[in-house]
Amino acid sequence: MDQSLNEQIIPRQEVVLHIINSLIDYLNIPFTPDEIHPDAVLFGSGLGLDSIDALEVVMIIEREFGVSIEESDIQPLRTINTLAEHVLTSRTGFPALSKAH
Amino acid sequence: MTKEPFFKDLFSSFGFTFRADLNGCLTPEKSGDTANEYRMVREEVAIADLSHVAVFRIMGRDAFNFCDFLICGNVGMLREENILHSIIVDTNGAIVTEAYLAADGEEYILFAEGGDYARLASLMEQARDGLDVKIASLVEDWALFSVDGPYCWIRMSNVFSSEVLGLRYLSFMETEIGRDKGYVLRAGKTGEYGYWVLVPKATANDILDNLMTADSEHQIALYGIDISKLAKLENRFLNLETEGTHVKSPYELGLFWMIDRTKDMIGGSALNNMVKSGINNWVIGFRTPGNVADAIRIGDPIQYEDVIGMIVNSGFSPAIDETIGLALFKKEYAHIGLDYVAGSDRVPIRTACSPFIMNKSLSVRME
Repeated sequence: MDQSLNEQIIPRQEVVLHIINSLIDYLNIPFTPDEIHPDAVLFGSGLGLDSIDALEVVMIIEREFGVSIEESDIQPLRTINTLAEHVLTSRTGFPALSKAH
Repeated sequence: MTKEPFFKDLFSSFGFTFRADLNGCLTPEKSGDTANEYRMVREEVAIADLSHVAVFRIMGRDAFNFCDFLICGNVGMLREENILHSIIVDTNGAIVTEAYLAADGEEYILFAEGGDYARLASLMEQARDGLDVKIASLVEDWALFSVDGPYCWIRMSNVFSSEVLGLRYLSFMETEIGRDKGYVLRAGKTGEYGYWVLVPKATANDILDNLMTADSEHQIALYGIDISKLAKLENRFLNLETEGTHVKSPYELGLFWMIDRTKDMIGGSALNNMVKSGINNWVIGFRTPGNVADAIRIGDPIQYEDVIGMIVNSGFSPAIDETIGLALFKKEYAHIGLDYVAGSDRVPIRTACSPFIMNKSLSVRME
């Protein structure tokens, strides 16, 4: 893998893994980090979180990454990958994806 | 012998064509106006024939033990009038079918969608060995269809009572239909509000007619399997006829949440070994502007420098005016926001979060 691709992947990988470990620690999700797929839906099916957990997820992201999620913005709360995307694009200096993506 | 869909005459009268799916069931494919089918699913109300779904009633003293050994999810956690969404795998841990298990008193209703029904029958025989369990197929006497769309709940409540509004996702209720009973399940694979309706065939046409003519300011139409396939892809619901034919590992497909590895079940050892030995590939989404779905075909390679993955599903999403798809990537390349090329035409794609669209139902409140 070339260096430029690796430089894109590493920060994403770190954030995704940090989110997975935090969800397991704080919300007692009964899966190991190795088996959790980052496209896992957070609520309803998937990880099976509920509306009370949603508040906890927002607090986890704020506590662990210093990034807030607006109450009206439900897009970041769909999957682990959308949470990671929100964290990465909210951080200063990280190259945001184009809006279409 | 090809099995005919129960609502064949109705769909024919609206100009639908039919095709045989993998299990030999003729399925409504598309009308002459797929754009309208799509619009009705995404913005109004639409009905699909689910005759291709295998439905069984599981009875007897050991019904729980049978289901718990057959199905990967935790049947012990399933409460009455709720539905477990899971999968059934073979002894190698390969997906055989997608399963919805409804807890109906001491009995269960199993809905199996897609995959290999002959293999499923063989696994059911294996699971029932030595158990006091009776299995009755419901497909001869019962009809199953879905009602989907952001406003489907209005017509459903008009026909089945306002009780349907209280159904949470993956729960169900019994309903009286004259002297018969039927079932309304809150389920669906479009990402919009959705219900599955299971009723005796003797009453099914009348009920469907009532739904079509029920008082509502929102339009209703029929939709076929082509739009159903696209709706599943847009919302990342499993489709065993596309990604499921190329990827058999539930972990590579991201279905870990459907599996309880702590219990004894068919394929349990194989699933544990998959996790222990490490998951080397992941299916993730990609997208690219415009409609280039013809140039991105299932089975096409994805390249960075070398081949790093393979397309396992693709289609054009009118909702976002982009070509979207799923690909099986080597895990180290399976991250979002990365630019690769796909197919012999080397079409640029970018890996992306899925579900791909924001459903209208997320902003529509049932009243």
